Amino acid sequence: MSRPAIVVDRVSKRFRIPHPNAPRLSDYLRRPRRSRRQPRTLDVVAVNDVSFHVNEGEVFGIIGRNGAGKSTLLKILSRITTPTLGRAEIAGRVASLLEVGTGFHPELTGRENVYLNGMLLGMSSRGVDRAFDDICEFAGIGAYIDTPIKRYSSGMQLRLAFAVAAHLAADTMIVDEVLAVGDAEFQTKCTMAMRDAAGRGRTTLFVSHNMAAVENLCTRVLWLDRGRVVRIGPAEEVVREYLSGASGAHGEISRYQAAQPSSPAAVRIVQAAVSGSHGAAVVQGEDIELSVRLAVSSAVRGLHLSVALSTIEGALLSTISNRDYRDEWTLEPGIYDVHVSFSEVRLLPRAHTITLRTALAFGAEVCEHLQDVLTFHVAERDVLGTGMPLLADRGVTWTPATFRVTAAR
Amino acid sequence: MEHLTASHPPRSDLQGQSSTESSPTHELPRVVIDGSSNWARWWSDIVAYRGALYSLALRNIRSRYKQAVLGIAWAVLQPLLQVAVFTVVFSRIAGADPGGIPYPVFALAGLIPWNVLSKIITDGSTSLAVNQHIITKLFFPRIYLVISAGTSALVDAIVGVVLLGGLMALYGIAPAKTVLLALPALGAVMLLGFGLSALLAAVNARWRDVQHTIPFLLQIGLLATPIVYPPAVVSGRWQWLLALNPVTAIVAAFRSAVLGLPLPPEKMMVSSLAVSLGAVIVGLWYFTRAERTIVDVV
Repeated sequence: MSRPAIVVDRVSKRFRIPHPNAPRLSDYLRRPRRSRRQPRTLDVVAVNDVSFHVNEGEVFGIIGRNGAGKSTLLKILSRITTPTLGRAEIAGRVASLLEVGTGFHPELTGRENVYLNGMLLGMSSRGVDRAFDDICEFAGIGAYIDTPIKRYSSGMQLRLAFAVAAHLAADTMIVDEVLAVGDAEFQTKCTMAMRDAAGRGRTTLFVSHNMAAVENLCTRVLWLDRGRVVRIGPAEEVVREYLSGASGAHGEISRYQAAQPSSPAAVRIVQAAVSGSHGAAVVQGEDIELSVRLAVSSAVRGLHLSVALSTIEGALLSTISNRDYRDEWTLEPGIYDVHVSFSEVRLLPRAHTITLRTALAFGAEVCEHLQDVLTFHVAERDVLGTGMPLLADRGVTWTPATFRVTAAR
Repeated sequence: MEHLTASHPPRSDLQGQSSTESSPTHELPRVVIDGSSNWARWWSDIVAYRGALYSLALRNIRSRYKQAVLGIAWAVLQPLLQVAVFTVVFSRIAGADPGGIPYPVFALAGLIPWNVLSKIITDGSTSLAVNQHIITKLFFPRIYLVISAGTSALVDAIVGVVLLGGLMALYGIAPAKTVLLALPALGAVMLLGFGLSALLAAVNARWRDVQHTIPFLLQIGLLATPIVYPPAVVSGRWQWLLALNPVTAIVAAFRSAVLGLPLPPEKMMVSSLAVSLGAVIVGLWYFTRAERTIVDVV
């Protein structure tokens, strides 16, 4: 039994980012002693103790919400950045496609870009020679091959870039969200090319928000949440569980309780909860109630709270704040409860997340940003009263419509 | 070679399948990814990814004069205009006299090594920041960006040398027997430029203040080094300052080698070379230390 093509062993990545309330140079001049005590950086753990292995020839999917650490993990495995802890091993030549057309130069012609891009991605010049006609045919660029690519439509640029990538000679491919772009016909072509490659024994790591593509292409799937592994298992199973958003501890988090007073901000969100209008469950077609408890430690002016609603797959549905209603809050120190009532939201039965953000003074100063802090599942209901429910395959929302047919004159 | 195309499989499916089963993974070389730095891995990457270096260098050269009506002619026009300006200012107005050598020849012979240095530093020190969209999406040895930024400088040097030849022919000056000594001088200036660029590129990736400071420093450097004026212009009391500047000896060596002037003192040339090598060592040391996390901060 040979060793797996990819072995990831307890990999973690910590970023040190500037603290949102880090003292500025002017603060040091005005209040040197206080400024020195304030934290200047913030540690963010993007990937936390992740281990898995991928067998040779396997197409392995990585899923998770925005900010779950998928891209960081791919960047580590592509060697773009290094892990803070842990180690990984990859067999053979790796071609990573974190973006289509990286290194394309707008001033150069299609032909020049095919050669330069191919070589940048690790092909030899003779390798590009051999594949050149296939690349042109795959991309369908035709006579424009000697035109600077800045004159191409974005679709043409994309096709050319993917065509180069598809002809790479690598043992392992790392692909991020490439299929999310392009028209339907081209997407089908890409999916076929990927399956073809997998059929020929090429190990592939594939990150996508497109659950249909993940289920279709991958054998096994890793579900990441906040940098940690939630589950690794057969594609269908993990995707189903992920979409239902209701798996034990990592699923529905309709209540949020702040941990230790971590941020020294003037306003902190200490509690948040989401529910339906008639109790705990959010039901399709009914109002959604959100309550947020704020702790104000020093008097603030121009405070606003913005609420962003997304699907679990990461599609942003709406963002609204009290500022949109020209109603900014001036608050004395104390504890405040904010009730937000969403009416006329027409969600479909799937998991959704809420992102909360508090900011002061025209959004210039962000107090707190809690990405995907709440997760809730919308329960299915016969909203049209027909006995035929509208399910998640309809899109991200449903829109009531009236249909009327009359005889044309 | 494996290809991914659906329409043109280079091998029949059957062969493809069987080769999969018969090629066990342990035959493939394994790359280890961790947070440590490892010189053996660094060097093997430098060799393995050389195609990317070629690609980046070619990309730099090819794209440089695109969408310019005069195109490649700019490579010739720029040094000519530069020499013309200095001839008017220094020779006609300030009355600098390089002693027997026509001023334009003197100036161009000095400007060639200086422009190489200046171009390498300007392009090299910004190379990581300018290409951040590439380095955050693709892996190759990051030092390639610094090296490839220097290729334009090399092209400029070749154009400059050809121009100098033409100018010397025009004034009826034959190249000196020592002309081949100009090559090590050019080599030294490229090493110096490369070392400084590697250091500055890594710093500039984090703090962009570098790229705003460099144009000033280069302007000062051009005037603080005897390039467009003969070193004799500076009074004896301040000659030691010129000698401290490592570029002085390199520029003088290049010019003297081509025009057959007396070479600068050996001690100065050796110390300039030592400074250049030192710059490469320090630059590479800092660069390799910084490159592990450069993508996180760029």
